[in-house]
Amino acid sequence: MLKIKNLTAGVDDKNILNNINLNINSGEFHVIMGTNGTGKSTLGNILAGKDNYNVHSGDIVYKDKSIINLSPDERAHEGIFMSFQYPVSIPGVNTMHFLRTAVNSIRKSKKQDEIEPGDFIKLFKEKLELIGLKSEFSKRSVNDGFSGGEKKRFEIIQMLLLNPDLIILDETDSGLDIDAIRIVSNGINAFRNKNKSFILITHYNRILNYLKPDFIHVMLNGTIVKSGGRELAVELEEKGYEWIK
Amino acid sequence: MDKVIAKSSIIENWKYTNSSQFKTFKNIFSFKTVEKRIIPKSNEIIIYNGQLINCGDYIFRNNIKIYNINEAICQEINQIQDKIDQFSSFKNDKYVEENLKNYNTGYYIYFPKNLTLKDKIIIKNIIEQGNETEYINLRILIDCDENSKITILNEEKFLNKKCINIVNQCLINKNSSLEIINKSNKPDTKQIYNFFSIINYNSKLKYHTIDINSNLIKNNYFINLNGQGSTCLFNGLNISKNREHFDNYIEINHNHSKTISNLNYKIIADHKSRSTFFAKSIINEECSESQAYQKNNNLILSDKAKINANPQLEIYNDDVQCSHGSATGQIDEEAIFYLRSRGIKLDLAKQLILNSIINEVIEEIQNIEVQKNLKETLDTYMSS
Ligand SMILES: Nc1ncnc2c1ncn2[C@@H]1O[C@H](COP(=O)(O)OP(=O)(O)OP(=O)(O)O)[C@@H](O)[C@H]1O
Ligand SMILES: [Mg+2]
Repeated sequence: MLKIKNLTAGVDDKNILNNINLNINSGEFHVIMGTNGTGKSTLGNILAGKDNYNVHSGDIVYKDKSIINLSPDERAHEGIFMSFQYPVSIPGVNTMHFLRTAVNSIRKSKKQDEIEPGDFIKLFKEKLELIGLKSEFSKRSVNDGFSGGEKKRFEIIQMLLLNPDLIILDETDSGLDIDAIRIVSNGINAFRNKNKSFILITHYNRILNYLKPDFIHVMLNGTIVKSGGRELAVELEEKGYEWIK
Repeated sequence: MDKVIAKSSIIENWKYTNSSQFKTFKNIFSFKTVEKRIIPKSNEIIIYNGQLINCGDYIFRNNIKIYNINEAICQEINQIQDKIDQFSSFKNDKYVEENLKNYNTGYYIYFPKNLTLKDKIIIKNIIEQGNETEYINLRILIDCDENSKITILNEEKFLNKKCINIVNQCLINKNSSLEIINKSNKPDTKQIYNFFSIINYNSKLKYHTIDINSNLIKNNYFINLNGQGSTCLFNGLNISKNREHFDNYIEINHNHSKTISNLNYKIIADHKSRSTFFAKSIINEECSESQAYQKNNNLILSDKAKINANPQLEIYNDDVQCSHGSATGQIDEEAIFYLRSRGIKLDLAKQLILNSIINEVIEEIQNIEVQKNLKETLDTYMSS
């Protein structure tokens, strides 16, 4: 599904990521852990195609095609989705209108008809309920005045509605209360299948107990220094990052 | 001494526009009389080339009276001279003076006591004649008598290139509420617009103005909160494109205790356009327990566009609540990235954000039908 090859990248001319190699097959669940400021979110932004985040060398191949020249919306059309570490609030843009526009944009790119407004309302409210947000959220502005946890829940609702194939979850668990971690994890697990791949960025082991990932990678100074199975996360939680350095 | 102060403040409200741009405002255009029949809707007042030509049935049924200002003065209707004299406390620039001298083109619209209107009144002002080198004076005096509740939609339609000098005056008597919505379509027009309002005891003015699609506009709004408990909500949106120049001066005078003013203004400026928001809320000495709020948010869409924002509060009493804020910026790139990362194309993402700003202004308007109509107009305008 995703092959990151010798990727050196950063913001403008500055290198933040150095020579990253990562292979993610369909259906796999990968986790990236690492110290603050080490480049985890930068990798997310590079994959999502943010302006000024540039690939300096190497390549990103997704579904057998290089994506480094695609715009963020084109990547979304191809099935890439990032749950933001810090979702921005957009006052005045209604959540329902935003998401219906997003869903229809993706459908249009696949030459599908627009979704019936009535059907969408039903679907949206269903997902709100599943992830534990009140239906009033359909009347609010995108992330505007949302609490930290509400923002993270809303990211997952978007994932469920847009139905992507490659999902980057940037610290989705930060800011969630203990119950919310369970609810959100259940939502993610129900959404998983053999055609969907995940990259979860996290600092904590707790959510991994629910998500049971296949691989753990440690990123330090913009490069992946160690990879392993579930046990690596447990070890990191006990010992910190010093021993790897 | 008084004269000197008045004069300096006139110059100040013109400080962002060079009046030489209005040098064609010298000779008055004289309309040719042509027969024209426009069938009004029931709630419409139709003024065509400066002449009142028709009103709908709803206007008659509710006893709303419309007079030529000149004739109303001659016939001493409703003590109109006293009412006009109340406006002499405002300082007038030479364009207002010129206009007021020219009574023939003005109308006096009287809303009787205790009149609560369910439906809005539409004043349709259509001008087809005129040219670039002569100017047209227009004037309307609105008089809401005690205990009335009225909504007016001002629809201006000025076709082709015109120079227009408008004076609108608005007197709101005790315990009344007036909502005015200005909606205009005047491509290529050069306009000087002066609005004066006097708001009396326990009365309320809600004023909405949406300015788009003109060449050169100088708007001056003067609002006097004269009665105890009088309030004013001023809600404005200005979208300039190409080489348009829009300059808005808004002055709200608190002249009594317990008065409230709320001023919200937004500018969106694109291409090489220039737009100005210059506001003064003045709370005078004798105005305890008053409140004055100003909020101004502006968006610049191009490197070559320019916005002047100058919100001012002048406070001469300490028993008051006030706030003002002004922010000018570009479209939030983070928000654009967020929307695009969900599959929304760049143009549509920008439009969503612009609409959010526009909708905030429009949603202040009470009338849902007007809201809908304005949203459609602006949608078309923004995507053109
Ligand atoms: N737009 C930017 N401009 C300048 N520097 C940036 C930008 N984005 C990221 N950086 C820098 O790159 C480094 C990596 O940042 P990044 O956000 O990827 O860290 P992270 O691993 O996600 O950290 P955290 O765990 O705290 O979220 C940091 O030093 C950060 O300051
Ligand atoms: Mg991060």
